[in-house]
Amino acid sequence: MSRFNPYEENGGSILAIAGQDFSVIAGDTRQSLNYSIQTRYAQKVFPLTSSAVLAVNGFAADGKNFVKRVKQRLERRMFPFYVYNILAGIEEDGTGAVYSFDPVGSYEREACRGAGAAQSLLQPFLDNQIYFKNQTLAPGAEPFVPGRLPLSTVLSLVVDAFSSATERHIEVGDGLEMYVVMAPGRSADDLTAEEAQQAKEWPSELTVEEMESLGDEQEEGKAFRVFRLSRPLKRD
Amino acid sequence: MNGGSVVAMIGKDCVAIASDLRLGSQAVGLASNFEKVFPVNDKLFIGLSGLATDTYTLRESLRFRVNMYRMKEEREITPETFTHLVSSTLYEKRFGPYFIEPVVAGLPDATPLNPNPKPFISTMDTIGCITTPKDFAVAGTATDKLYGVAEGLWEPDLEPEDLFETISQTILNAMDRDALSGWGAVVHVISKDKVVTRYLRGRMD
Amino acid sequence: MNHHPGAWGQTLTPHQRFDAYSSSAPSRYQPSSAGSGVVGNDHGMYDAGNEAVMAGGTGVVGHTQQPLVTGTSVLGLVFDGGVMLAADNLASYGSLARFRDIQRLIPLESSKHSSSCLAVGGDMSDFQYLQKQLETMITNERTQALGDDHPSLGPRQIYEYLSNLMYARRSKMDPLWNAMLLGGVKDGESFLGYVDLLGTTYTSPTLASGFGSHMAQPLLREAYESRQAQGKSGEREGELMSRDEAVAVLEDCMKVLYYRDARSMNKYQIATITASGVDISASKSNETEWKFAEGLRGYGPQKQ
Repeated sequence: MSRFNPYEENGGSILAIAGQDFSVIAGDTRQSLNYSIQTRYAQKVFPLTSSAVLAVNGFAADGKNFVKRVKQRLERRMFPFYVYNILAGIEEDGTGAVYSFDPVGSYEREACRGAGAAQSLLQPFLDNQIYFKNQTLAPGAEPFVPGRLPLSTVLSLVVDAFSSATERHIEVGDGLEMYVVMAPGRSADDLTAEEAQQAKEWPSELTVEEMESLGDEQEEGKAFRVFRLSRPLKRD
Repeated sequence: MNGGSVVAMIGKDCVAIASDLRLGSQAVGLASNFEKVFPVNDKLFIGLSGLATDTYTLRESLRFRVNMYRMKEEREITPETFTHLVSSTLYEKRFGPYFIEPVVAGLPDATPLNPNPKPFISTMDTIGCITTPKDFAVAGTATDKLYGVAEGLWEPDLEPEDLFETISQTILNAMDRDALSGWGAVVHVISKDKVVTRYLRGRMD
Repeated sequence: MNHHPGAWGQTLTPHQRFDAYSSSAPSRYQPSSAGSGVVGNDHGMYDAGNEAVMAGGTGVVGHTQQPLVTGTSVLGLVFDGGVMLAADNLASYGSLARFRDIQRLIPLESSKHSSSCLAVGGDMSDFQYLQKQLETMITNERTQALGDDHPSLGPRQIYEYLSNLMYARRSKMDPLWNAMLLGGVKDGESFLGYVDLLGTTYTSPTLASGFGSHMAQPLLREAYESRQAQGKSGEREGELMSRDEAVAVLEDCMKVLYYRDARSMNKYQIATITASGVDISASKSNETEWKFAEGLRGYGPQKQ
């Protein structure tokens, strides 16, 4: 008699990129099991506080309950949650931060990270475009510094990365949901201004909305700002 | 197996094909000069990634068959015909296959029947099922990673120099995330009047 | 001496039984009463239940690990004004069509604010346990809601409770072997969600469990999406199916499932959940056509 298997693999992918004074974190919205799409909209990215957003990928039931427990600040060892986590937000010094975790809690701060079903498609692309791996400087050019890309570039990279993963991975698609966390005092013009949204680099069909306060008290004029960006992905 | 990856891409009136240079035995690296791409004629190349012994066996058996074709037909084999030759060679061993996923890249000559030939790439599984993509073809242990990067970097109608940059960045960055591929790469860019072959230095870890 | 919990209660070889250090012998382990052995819940009323059965003094906890009497797929669909659920009336015992008049749609809380209904597939004894559990919880909540300003239960609250219960049981490695759909309406807003034995949850305007997720879900999605798309160029953007259209689609799906799902039966019910309450239809059946089978080898009388 086969033993009851308490885990499942629900597909999908997540990704986060840190900037100098912002961070972007994204996930697709498909939830699948083997070759069946269970739903075209299931959340993988969850705003936790005004300065931190968590993306969860793996076994969806564990994911939802993990987020629930994190929100209650509980801790868990043994019988691990089968989830890969990426946390993005703003550090105390005002810099954009991305922390990635494995199911048993090992973590690392990075400039970017892809995870989930399409990790092997996303990560080498990010190595090249975010860490500038295998790129050499033109004579006299400014040196590359990872984590300093402008927001507009980061956004189009995230959209490109997910469009690519959608094209070649059956478990990725349907919709893309991104959260942008901005450090206090940072101008949001490069996200909200008409001009920015008309630029050539601006991804098509992208909708932007600012999240209202996430409950925690914020000092006047020193508030973090969180934006939710969404865009359709191919459904096939 | 021995590891290794191959990728081919279509550009504007040109094609490119590249492979890594590693030969390994499981996790142990054995050689850093093991090319997996071989010329078939002036404008046609084949990449044979997979089991190294089959890479050589298949290369020799294809060399024999292409020579026979050349003598009988008194002309060079076209990329499309060559693809079918590879496919049937693989299918002969349907129930004990060569552990090879070939990638073919070539620039057909203009003929009266086909005055405006287009750059051609194709790929097969181990028993010869053919796919002829319009953009790029990948094979080997870094397949997933090659798809991820190529899908992000490739665009239509690249000139030879831009195609070289694209295919090089694709294989280098995919290789660096694959434990079984790497140790440098070789790139062939085939255009109307010349083939440019370049060796890329890569991470040696 | 093997102190790993997995080895507790195992018979020991003479070699293993030799206890050089006089540590406590696992073979003498006696389970204490179930109450103190398992973490209890003082409030008890919403506890998923300490169902762990102590197997004959061995100290090994035994669990239900396979379904016995089962119901097949259930379907769900959001329409204009509410939600519909469908399930057939069969409870199978393996391949035997054992109980042929089982209602697998259960109406839950219904008030002037909201109405909810559950459709259940999988193990029928787990389903009956679950039904009792839910009704206890709902009665308690309703009683409290009568007095002070205690909020009443909507479909989302019942769904959350169900999800937590199912996830808690799977985390105890003692799942309730079911896949369920919860449909409901609250303050004019429709809700349709799925929960299963692993605690996996998702919501969607069309849902199907089991075999239905392969055979009926594509038909449901096609019907739902074609109606949505009609609006893209015209004036009816985002419009939902009418009640009659929804019934027609569900009937069609139940027919398809009856043709191809060997654990199904041509006798089923449809629950319609709207602001005015839960209406569960009388059992009905579809016209079927088996003439095509005459010409097929393996069906009907053989001629050659």
